[in-house]
Amino acid sequence: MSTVALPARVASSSLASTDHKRIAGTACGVAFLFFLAGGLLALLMRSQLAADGGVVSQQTYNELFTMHGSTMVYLVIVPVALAVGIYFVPLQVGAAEIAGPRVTLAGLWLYVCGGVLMWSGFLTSSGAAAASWWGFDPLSESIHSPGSGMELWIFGVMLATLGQILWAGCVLLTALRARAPGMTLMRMPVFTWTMVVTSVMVVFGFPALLLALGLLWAQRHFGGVLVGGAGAVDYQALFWFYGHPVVYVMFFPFVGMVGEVLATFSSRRFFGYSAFVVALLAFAGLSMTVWAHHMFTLGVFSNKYFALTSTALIVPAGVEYFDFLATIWRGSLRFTVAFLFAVGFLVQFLVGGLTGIILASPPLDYGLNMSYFVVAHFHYTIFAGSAFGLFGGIYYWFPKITGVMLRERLGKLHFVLMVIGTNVTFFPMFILGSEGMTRRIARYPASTGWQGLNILETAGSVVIALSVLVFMLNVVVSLRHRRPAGDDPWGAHTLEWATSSPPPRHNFDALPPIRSYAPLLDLREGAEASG
Amino acid sequence: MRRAAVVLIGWGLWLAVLTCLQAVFAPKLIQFSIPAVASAACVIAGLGLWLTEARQGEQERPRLITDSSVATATLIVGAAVALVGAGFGLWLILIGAGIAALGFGGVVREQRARARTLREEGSR
Repeated sequence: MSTVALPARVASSSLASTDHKRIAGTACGVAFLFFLAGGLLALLMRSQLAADGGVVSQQTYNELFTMHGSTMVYLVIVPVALAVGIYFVPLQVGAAEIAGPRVTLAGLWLYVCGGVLMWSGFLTSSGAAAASWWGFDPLSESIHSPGSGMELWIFGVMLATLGQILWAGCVLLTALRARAPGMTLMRMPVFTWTMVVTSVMVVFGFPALLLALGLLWAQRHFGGVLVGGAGAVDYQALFWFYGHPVVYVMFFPFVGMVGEVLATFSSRRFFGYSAFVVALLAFAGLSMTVWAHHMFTLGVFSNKYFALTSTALIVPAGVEYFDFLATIWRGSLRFTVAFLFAVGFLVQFLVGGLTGIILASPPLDYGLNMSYFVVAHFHYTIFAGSAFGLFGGIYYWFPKITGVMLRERLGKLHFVLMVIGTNVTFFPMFILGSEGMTRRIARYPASTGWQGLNILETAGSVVIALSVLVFMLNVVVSLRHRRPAGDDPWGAHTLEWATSSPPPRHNFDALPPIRSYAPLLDLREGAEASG
Repeated sequence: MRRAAVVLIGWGLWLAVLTCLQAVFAPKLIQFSIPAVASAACVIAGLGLWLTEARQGEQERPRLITDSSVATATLIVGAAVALVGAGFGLWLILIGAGIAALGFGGVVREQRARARTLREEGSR
């Protein structure tokens, strides 16, 4: 495909650039700021629970958990997952740029505006939104949540979500329509495949949230839209049609990153590629049909159906885990920081996944619903799982993005602290949930004996904060005292490593022949075979 | 490239099968209709992609790589301000609409410049 460079008429800046790499970089930078802000809210919540109340009021605590959850889901994990796709999918399929660069830029601005709006609720006299990250109806209606904080939350979430839909559309079209010659569908790298299914879920699942929030806004202003119990159930149905697939949107891209990392650092071709792709597509379809398991206790939907589909998720998940284990089996392992985080993802996500099977069973869910067991479960999937996958991806791709290596020693310290902090913070939540501690409470009776475990969790959250500081130190040190990475410091398999680090505006000067999903490995093997 | 559309069509049909499976469990209308709409939309998008690819074929087209688009950012900020105005008053809607109009004009200008550049490249 021939390319023409348009002379820059306007001073190029990150905030107006149509280069997919700069858009993704800006999005990740903004998301990291939101991550720090959301993490600060979590530390405040943990302080409140360790002290058994007394740090903040109940209303402020409601705002804290609402904005923590909203920030981490709408403004951190989902945007980062898509931003990594924006950066690497064009590179992995050998495209000169992303499909729809202006639309991608529009998505960035929608996301930024959405985040600013959501957080500006703290500046209003009524405070920020306080109806949880899913904006419970009728709690989120104007009579229960008056003031502009809730309004700003609704608009903010709508804008950020719309931006994410645009991003997903661009990533999807890039993978489907902008592939280089020779890059057939079944030669796309595993990360690109995970981004394809992620994008499909975003494009066809996320509009339900826009509809739900539009109805909520109309209900707040005009009434008569979400009427009574049926209205609340309809809102929840629409919300969870977004709200469960989003869990997989926060999972699949990191599965892809872990797959790339495991194959590279095992020095082996990814095992069971075709089965992995089929499992991924089946997994994505199933994950769009499990959403009402969040509403088992309402008893209005077909619990048997949703229990069946939720439990069936084990099958494709098992195929993926089997592929991962078979990839590293008898491989020539290199225990880099990226590899450690990938293994951390595998082990810890398993805890989240297995406890998900418990919650997929209606009789067990009736006992555990709305307890800290659920909080522990989803933090094991999203933080102990996805965040570890993300850090694995960061340590793996940082040399490609910046041209310099991150420090391995600091990285290993980061990993150890994060493993300790994560498990000390989230594992006791399983115990507290089983003992009956309800989520979203700002204080609890002393007679429950829950304070000891809450203090332990708070200590764990401080260790997580420390690990993030070590990571930031690593980035600063690595960028100031640069150790050049070269084009392919890891001996990786996929096309993004065939260009310079960082890649030029047009991504590639020349592409190697593409004969499989691991073209660089093919080249190396070919060179070895020919002596 | 036309096989790419099969991904969307196939996945949409898979979602449709899972949705239809609900029939065994006497579903409520909303529980059935939400995934049904999503699966139909996916299949239609796949068919649209198929037809687009069929019409365009595999021909090589010159591609323009733009550097930046301040107008796009302006358009989106204006639209966001106007949307927020729905909750805060007409004055904010008007300010947002004004900014968005400015941005829209810029996008049109950029599109025309893009078309001109491609024409000039084509005639060379």
